Amino acid sequence: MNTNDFISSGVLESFVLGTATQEEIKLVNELCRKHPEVLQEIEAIEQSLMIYAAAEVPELSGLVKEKLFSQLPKNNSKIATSENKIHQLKSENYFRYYKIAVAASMALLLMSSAFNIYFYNKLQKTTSELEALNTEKQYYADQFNVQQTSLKNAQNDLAELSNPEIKIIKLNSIGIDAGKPVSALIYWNATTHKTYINSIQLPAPPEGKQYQLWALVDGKPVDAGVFDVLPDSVSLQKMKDITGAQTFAVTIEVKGGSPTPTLSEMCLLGNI
Amino acid sequence: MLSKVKYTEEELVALVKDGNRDAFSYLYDNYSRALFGVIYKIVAEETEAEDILQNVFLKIWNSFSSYSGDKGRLYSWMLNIARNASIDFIRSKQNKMNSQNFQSDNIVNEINRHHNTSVNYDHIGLKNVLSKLDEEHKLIIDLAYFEGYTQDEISKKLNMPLGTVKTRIRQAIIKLRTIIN
Repeated sequence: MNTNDFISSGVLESFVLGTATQEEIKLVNELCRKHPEVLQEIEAIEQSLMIYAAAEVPELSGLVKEKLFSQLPKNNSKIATSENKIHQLKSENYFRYYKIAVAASMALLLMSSAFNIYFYNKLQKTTSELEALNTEKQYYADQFNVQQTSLKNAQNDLAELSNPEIKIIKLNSIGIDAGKPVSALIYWNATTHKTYINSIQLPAPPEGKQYQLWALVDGKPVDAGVFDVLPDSVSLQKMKDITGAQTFAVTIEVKGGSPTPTLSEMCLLGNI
Repeated sequence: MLSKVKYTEEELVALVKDGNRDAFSYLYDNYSRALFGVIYKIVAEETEAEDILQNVFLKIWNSFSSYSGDKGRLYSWMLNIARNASIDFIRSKQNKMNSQNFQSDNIVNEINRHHNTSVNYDHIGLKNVLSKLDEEHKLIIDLAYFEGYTQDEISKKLNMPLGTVKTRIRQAIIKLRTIIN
């Protein structure tokens, strides 16, 4: 029940009218301590009821008070002079109250500050830990993707190479490099026309140059694409599809390749 | 009409507990009009109401040590003393008048009779406070206020759902507040 529901429940009216149960009184007292608006509401109800009781009632004779006070003990042994005592008590009360209130506030402030610092540091630490973990997670996710792509490529290559129709053509070095243990392997499927090169044993081409693969089809050179010498020893490079080749050759061309082979730069050759 | 607040309720209670006559004088000035009104509306007789009020304040003074904020508002505690004293008075008077047991209905009749008579007093400058309240609202407040009926008892007495009783009491007091303000 929130404070407003409580205020409108009718229990505060019972409370002031003196007809509330012990449990209700206890509950109302607790709420008064926590919510000043409940106390305000009670005071307003009380004021209204006091005015209501006093409305249209004969004026109370001052004699009643005189008679009453004549029956009270004249001097209170506990009190030297009443007015002084009142002020003393009031100021003592205030002083005591303020002392306690100030001490309590300070204690609460200190506790609150300590908790703030503690939780702030903890939060900072947790935040940076979380960031580190996220970075690490991202790194592993990237690694996983790389590995997966790489595995997939390897599997595709393997599937391609496992095809019984594949032909393996060894290209040997010719020209100025003839006789050197330099070679490359061509994997060619005459049916599907798929062509791969394994350039594992080739040295890096000169600066600004690139290797280019050619197929000789009916005596004419057909471009099969340029390729790089990759450091990865298992890497196969897929070349352009080739139909009806009798011979494969590799020349060294300017980067990006040439439309026709530079025959003087031919370095590898292999017949099917 | 009510004394300007000079003490908080806590301070007043502490001082009166200490036997402080000045604080008790302040308490009298602050609450006597309302308590007199309660007594008067139950007994409907001025002189008797004054006597009861005097006894009630004497009782408040003598038994003040038994009061604490845990028991509820100071006014509610004093109200109960005043109400019980007045109802006791009415009962003993009724018992004297006839040997039959007092019926609580008689109090309501008496209260209503009193409200319905044209009282010429308007000392607190709140003309028509009572006439501006619906009879129904007035009846419910009076049962709770001047006879000390719990909401549950009012519900049974008027054969009205408890929720309606609560709502009416609250509405009546809200109405009172608007009339007063």
